[in-house]
Amino acid sequence: LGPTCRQRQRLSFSLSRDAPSSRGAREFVEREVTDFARRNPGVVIYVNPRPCCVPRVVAEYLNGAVREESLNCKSVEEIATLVQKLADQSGLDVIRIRKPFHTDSPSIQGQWHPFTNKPTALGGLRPREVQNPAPTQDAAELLGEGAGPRWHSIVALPQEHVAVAIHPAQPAGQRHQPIGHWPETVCSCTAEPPARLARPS
Amino acid sequence: MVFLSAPLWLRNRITDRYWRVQEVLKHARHFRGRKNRCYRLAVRAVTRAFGRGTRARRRRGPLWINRITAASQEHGLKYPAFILNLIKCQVELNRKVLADLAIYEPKTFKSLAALSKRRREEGFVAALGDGKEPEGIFSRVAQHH
Repeated sequence: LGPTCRQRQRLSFSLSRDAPSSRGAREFVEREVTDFARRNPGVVIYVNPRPCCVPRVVAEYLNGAVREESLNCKSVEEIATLVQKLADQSGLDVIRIRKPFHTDSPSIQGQWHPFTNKPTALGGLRPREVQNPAPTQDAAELLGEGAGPRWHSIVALPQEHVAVAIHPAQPAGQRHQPIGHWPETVCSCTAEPPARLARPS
Repeated sequence: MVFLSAPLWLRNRITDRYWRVQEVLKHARHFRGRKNRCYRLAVRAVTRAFGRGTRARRRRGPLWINRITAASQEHGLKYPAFILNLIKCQVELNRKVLADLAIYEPKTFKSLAALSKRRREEGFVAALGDGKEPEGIFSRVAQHH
């Protein structure tokens, strides 16, 4: 039967030899079922002629879904379109798809939780504890120095999480100053971020 | 109208009541309790469900904006500054994607916040420096078409 192909579904026709309601089904089986089978090699077709009042076609899909359609008093063209539709379907339910996307692993970097962006401290700090009280003086000095040529040293606001490290102001002679540094993950400088100031509550 | 007496009125009967009822019940099939079977209860439940869906769609936008505001505040930026500088860097991410990144990819969002902060500072330098400084690296804009 040509190149090997995977079976995708099974179609079982049950029609009657004599009843007038299965006239269209009989004509379909005589004329068009072989061409249809040749066109869709992934579909296995069974034809069961047995005395039944209502001719039916049962479509079984790979995911286990079973759909049954009645071919009662249908013309050959209608049966052909119906069978083509059953062959084209996959076995998924015909209901509203709530979302056109789905993922089993929505987070690659780890889902956010309240401690994701909080800095950690060796030994464990309690909530409003300052890490070491000394650097507050350095921060004050830097703020004082940076008051002169504003566009040469931009001092980042001391906040809980500093994405830009502070660098001391350089003399005005030098032209091309680094404006601010990339976050500490990319930057290789070893300057300490300033300590968290106590929040005015 | 021509129906001048009750016998003439009754000549008009509804023949497709079943389908009218099914149109409503098909939206209630996944509900809990008698709401998924009884038409009278299903009508109320389906109306409320549709209204809730419409109102939720309208409130999605502000929800995303609030989430982005919270995430950028964690990184030391305000929402307008963040969005403005992201647009200036030609990062055309919409608020839905930014909110999802803030929840599920916090490191990516942190780098976006850093990018925005850097672009903001370059903007300040360009505005206040009066042309003495060279143009910032992240202020370069790729010209398409």
